[in-house]
Amino acid sequence: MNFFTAQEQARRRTKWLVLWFALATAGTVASLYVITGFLVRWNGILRGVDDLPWMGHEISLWTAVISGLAIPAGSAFKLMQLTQGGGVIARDLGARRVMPITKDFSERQLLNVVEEMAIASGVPVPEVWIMDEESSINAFAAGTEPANAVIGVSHGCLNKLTRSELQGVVAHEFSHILNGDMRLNMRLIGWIFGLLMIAMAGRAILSTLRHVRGRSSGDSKSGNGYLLIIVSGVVLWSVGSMGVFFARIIQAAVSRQREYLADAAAVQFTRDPYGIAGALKIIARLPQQRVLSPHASEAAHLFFHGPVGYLFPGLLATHPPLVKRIHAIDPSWDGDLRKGDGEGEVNMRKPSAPVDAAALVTPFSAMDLSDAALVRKNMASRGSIRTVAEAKAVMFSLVAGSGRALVAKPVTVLSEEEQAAFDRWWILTRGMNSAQKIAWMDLAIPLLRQMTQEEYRQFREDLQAWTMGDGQVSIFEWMLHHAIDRHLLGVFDRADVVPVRWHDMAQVEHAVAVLLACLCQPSMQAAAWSRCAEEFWRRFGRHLPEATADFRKLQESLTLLEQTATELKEQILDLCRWVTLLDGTICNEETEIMRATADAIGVAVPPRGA
Amino acid sequence: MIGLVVVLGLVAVLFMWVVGSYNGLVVARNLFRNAFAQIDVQLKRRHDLIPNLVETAKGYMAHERETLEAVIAARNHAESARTAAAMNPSDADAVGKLAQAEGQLGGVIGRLFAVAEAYPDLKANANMMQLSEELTSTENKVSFARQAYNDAVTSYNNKREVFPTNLIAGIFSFAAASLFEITHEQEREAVKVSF
Repeated sequence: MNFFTAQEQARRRTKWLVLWFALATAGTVASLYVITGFLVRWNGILRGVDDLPWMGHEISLWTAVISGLAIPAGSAFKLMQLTQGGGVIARDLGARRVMPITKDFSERQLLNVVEEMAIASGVPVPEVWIMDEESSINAFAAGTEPANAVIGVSHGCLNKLTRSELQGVVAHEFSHILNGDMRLNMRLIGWIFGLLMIAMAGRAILSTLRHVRGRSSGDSKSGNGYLLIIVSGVVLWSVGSMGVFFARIIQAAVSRQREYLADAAAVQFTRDPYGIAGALKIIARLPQQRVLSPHASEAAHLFFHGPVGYLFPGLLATHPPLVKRIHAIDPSWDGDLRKGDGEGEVNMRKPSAPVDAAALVTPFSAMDLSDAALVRKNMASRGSIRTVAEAKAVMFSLVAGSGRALVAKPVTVLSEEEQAAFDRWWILTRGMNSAQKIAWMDLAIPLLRQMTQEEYRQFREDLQAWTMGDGQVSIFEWMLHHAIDRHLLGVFDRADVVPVRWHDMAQVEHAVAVLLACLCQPSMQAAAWSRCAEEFWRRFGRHLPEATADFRKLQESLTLLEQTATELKEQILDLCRWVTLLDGTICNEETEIMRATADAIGVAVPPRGA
Repeated sequence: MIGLVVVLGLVAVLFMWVVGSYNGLVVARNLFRNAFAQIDVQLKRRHDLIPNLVETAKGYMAHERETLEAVIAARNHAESARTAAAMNPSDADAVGKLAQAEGQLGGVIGRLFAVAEAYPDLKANANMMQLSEELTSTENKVSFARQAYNDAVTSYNNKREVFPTNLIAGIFSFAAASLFEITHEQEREAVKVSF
């Protein structure tokens, strides 16, 4: 399945879910209303008044109104929390962030595997978290969009799986990011939280009561009141739980389907069915363990595999049975779990001593093996970016080398490490074309996420200063700022969720025309625009409005295009690709505008999607 | 008169077809040229890791000077091939040479690790483990980036070879592009059955 289709499907399913959850909420509110009515009447009977009606009391009305407001409010609160990105969930689950400078061997390996899968799937490298407490094998992906996504794995993944099995598990999580499942999952968590809150309120009442009761026992006067409070606590708890129960059924039904898709995508990314199948077999072979974190139950559907032992496994399981999943990937499997792949026992890897990262970058002093020039060259351009300072320096050097007038001298104050890195990258990136520069930019961006809020503000200011170093903003610089906005805003500022407003080309054709005009401009072909209009007519059956290549207008247009439906975005991007290829060459400006457009309208372009 | 119109019509159709095919070829060529940048980034990293690998190994296997020198030689050869290919990714010869050089490099590195089996201290060395992990990862990244590149090259070559576009390709000399396939020498000679 095309991943655009998968994303669109996820979004369409979300609409249905809203309806179902509205029903669940309405059901909960209605039951509370009815039950309060009964309670009032029962209370009346206890006091000797037995002609009270069943319904329509002020108190039951108020209960209905309050719960009817509280449930959506609770959901909204949780959803707002969740839009801050996947890091919030990861922290809730008791996970710890893995820093790219880690010296631990298995953490290093995990980061490498994540980077590999980022290349294979065309998704930006997400943050990586580890659940240290979990010795079982599990993993999750969280976040509202690829830019603020995180991937978390349990500690068990690191010491019980082989490298290729780990790769399979990580690839599965990448599919959830790419196919838009994460956003769906985040919504589910938010909505369920509203219902869960009612149940939690009931439980809270009961537990407070136990303390109060303990202190003032023997006070028979208020016995009736106690009973009423106990009963209302029980009612809140049970009705809330019922709501949660139905919500979970919906959640589970959606989640099960997405899991098969993710397993299939994992095979597609790794091109190795044995990795993920092996991981699933090991999980099936191990004694079942629940995830320990108290927040795990509301996030059950996030995980790589679900817990077993529910009361209604068919209805509530968020994941298809392991055996079925393994069969879907590896149809030739005979169903025998005892036969491990190669080894009979779970493959335990030896814990390793921490590595001194500094030792890895030892200057190459094998003078007798090679000539001095090689040594200097190697020192000058170590082909990796590992620290934040280096990542910053890469960004500065890319900006410095892109303007019309080259800015060879630092514009802002650089630390010693940054200066050294800048000098190296300045030489390395100067002669590169845009595609190469963008490749390096993409390697540097994930590291920038480690900055503190303070550092980030300073970095943006500095970058602005570098950008204006030559007095003007080049297209490359403009693109770079867009890329940073796309990938870092969600981390440091709250990125607003962009609503989908436009579904039809007619609504956005002026914006598209501006974009196309800008793309036609670098090639300077008069014929380009008319061919563009022809193609536009052929594809959309509409006349392309006149537009001029104006970069200020382009900015507005991209903001507008961000609010279009995913499928339309795909068509627009495809048309842009067609235009850049029109004159037979992709010049640097065209590469840059294309990339900025993809970043600005929020579409990840997978390498093999074209 | 009708004859003239028909002839002119045919000429116009022919001209449009020539333009269309030509542009199609150019488009396909640009797509794979762009995809090469991703491979290039990873190969560079691979080449930069190798001197560190040799440096670490040197301390333990002084008697294997020959192997180490072979690694460095292969690395330098591959690095110059990389620089040449990065200049012009549509030069099939340069890309072919790079793939070959990478294959040789993979072969000698494989030999180095095979020899390292005999040195338990080296195998247990934390830096060595780390470096071998980094090399594995870089190789994986190359192979994932390679898939995108090879897809693009295949679609270009297909376009170039099918009739009648091959006529256009011949006239405007669109050269065949080379897939980036790395075959490790050692993989080829690995099949040995003994009883």
